[in-house]
Amino acid sequence: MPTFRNLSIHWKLLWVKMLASGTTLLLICAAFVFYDRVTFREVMVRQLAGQADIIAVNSAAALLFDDPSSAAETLAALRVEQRIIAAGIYRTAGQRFATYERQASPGTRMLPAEFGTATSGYRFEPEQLVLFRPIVGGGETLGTVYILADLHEIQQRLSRYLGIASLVGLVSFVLALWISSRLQRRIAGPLVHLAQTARGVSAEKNYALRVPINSQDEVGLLGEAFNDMLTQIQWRDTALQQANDELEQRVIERTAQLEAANRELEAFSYSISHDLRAPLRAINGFARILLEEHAPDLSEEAQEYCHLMRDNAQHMGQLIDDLLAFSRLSRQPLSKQPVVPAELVQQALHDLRAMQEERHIDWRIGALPPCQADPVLLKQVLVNLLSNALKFTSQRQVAVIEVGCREAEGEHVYFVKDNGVGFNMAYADKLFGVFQRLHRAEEYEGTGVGLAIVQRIVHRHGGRIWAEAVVNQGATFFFTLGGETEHA
Amino acid sequence: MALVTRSRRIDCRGQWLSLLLAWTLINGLLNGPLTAAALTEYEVKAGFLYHFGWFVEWPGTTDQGRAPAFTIGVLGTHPFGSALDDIMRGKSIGERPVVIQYYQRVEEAVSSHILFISASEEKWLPAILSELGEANVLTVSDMERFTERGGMIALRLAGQKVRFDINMDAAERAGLKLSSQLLRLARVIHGPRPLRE
Repeated sequence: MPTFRNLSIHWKLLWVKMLASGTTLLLICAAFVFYDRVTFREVMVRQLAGQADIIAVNSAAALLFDDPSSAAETLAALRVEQRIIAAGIYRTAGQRFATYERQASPGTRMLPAEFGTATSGYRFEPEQLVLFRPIVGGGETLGTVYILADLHEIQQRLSRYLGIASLVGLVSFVLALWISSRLQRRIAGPLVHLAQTARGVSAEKNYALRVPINSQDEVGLLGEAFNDMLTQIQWRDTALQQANDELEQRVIERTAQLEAANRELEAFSYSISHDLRAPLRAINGFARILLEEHAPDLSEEAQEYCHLMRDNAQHMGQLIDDLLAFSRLSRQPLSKQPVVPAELVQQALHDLRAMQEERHIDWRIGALPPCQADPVLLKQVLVNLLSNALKFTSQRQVAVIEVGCREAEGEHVYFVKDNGVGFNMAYADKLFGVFQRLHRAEEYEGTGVGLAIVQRIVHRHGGRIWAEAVVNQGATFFFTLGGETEHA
Repeated sequence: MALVTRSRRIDCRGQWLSLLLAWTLINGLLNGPLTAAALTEYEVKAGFLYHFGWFVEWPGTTDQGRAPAFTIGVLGTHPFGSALDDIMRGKSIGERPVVIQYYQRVEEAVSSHILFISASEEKWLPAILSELGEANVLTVSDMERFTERGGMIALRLAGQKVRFDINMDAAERAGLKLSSQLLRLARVIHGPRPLRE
């Protein structure tokens, strides 16, 4: 059942009207009924008292001359009065003298056999009025007239009133419905329209809708305010949309510019790397020809310079190769798959067998749990780290190189540990930069790209890399591969 | 007529009621115990004589400044004993005190309001009525055929109740107005003129 709160304003107005008019009607009816009841009783008592008095006067002689049948005839005159159901004449001592009953019944049950000393008065009983008047003659009280009247008439009047009231109520309900449907257009109509517009606006996000304003009352003001609000929202919405569009356009433009610049840069570096190789090859080639075919013509010193020229040209070629590999790394797509790191370690050691010749190396390969990674790139990481370890332990009588994994904070941390020259931890942050070297090239060969490549691969996997070292005691490189917990 | 329907319905209650009524009339304000045997036929008739005064209007009396006594006369050998005097003591009709007069001669009775003519006078009734002529005297008697012979109210016994007949013409001739209430209780006859000798 819908509560009053949720009713439409149209029905609310109707209810208010009905309640007001209904209450008024009810109160008026109640007042009328009350008034009528009171006056009706008064009038009834007065009329019956008058009739009783007439009976009293006309029955005095019958009482005095002891003639009950004459008194009964006098009482029988009450037949014209519908309300009187019984009447009686009593002597002063209380004995019944004569009786009358509208509907003859055996005995006289309605009238008391004796009537007390009270000679004038009346009382209302639930359905009857009892009235008694004295019979006076010659200055003496001779007896009492006793009348029993029916009060059904009051009930009839009451039900008639109720009937009229409910009829009027029905008519006023219909009238109120009719008036309300007329007034709805004036009062509830604009409100309903406003509500519909508001719902439309919020449902369709259509801020171009407007409420028609027909009046200057509160509803009209509400409508105007609503329209103003819609205008502002619409204006802001448009501005916001424009700003958004502009921003998007700018982002697209910038992205395109950046992509173009990036492409240019890559093409540039690639072509440069490529183009640089040709002159290098030429320098290297001609230096070799000089050494091979014109060695007799050259002095010892000139031959030495030619060797230096070739070495540097080759070194530069190596640098360019590494640079190209590094830049290729960022363009290559990453293909993650389940790998067994232990196998990759073996492959890396096989690749690095040249560096192990004539070396005394104590390999300590621990358990390496399987993981999710790009096998080619992970092997590259291992090759770089292991070659570093081999390189920086070259001075040791016995090189100890450990490969392992340990569990820390829910992730697998792989490490490669050596007992090489180590490095100063103060420069730890420079380790992974391109072309960054902590040792002189004369001591340890290399281009300084290796660790940069390792870091890039680890980062592309979503992992971390760091190192710990003590000078002349060794270094340890740790790395994690992101998403390892999935395979833990 | 009421008297016809009244018939002979005489039971204990009726008798008791009539006695009670008489007792009420006699004792008035006295609150004595009910004694049914206390009322005799003539005590009831004495009460009737008094109450006739209430329902009859005498001509000219209303105009008099000072009301004379209301006279109830008894002509001849009366059968009331002391009952009449007992009942009338201290009573009045309207403003006038009731006085009882016992007459032997009809000439004396002309000034009375009500005249009870004893059965002892039956032989001279025509003379008495003729003597009274059209005097304003209400004549009452319990002799036989009183109204037929020109009397106004004849008392008679119906069973053990006292009832009365009224000769309307006689009353009208005497200028008396009888209350309709009284007429309703009576058997009304329109009797002949009083016989003249």
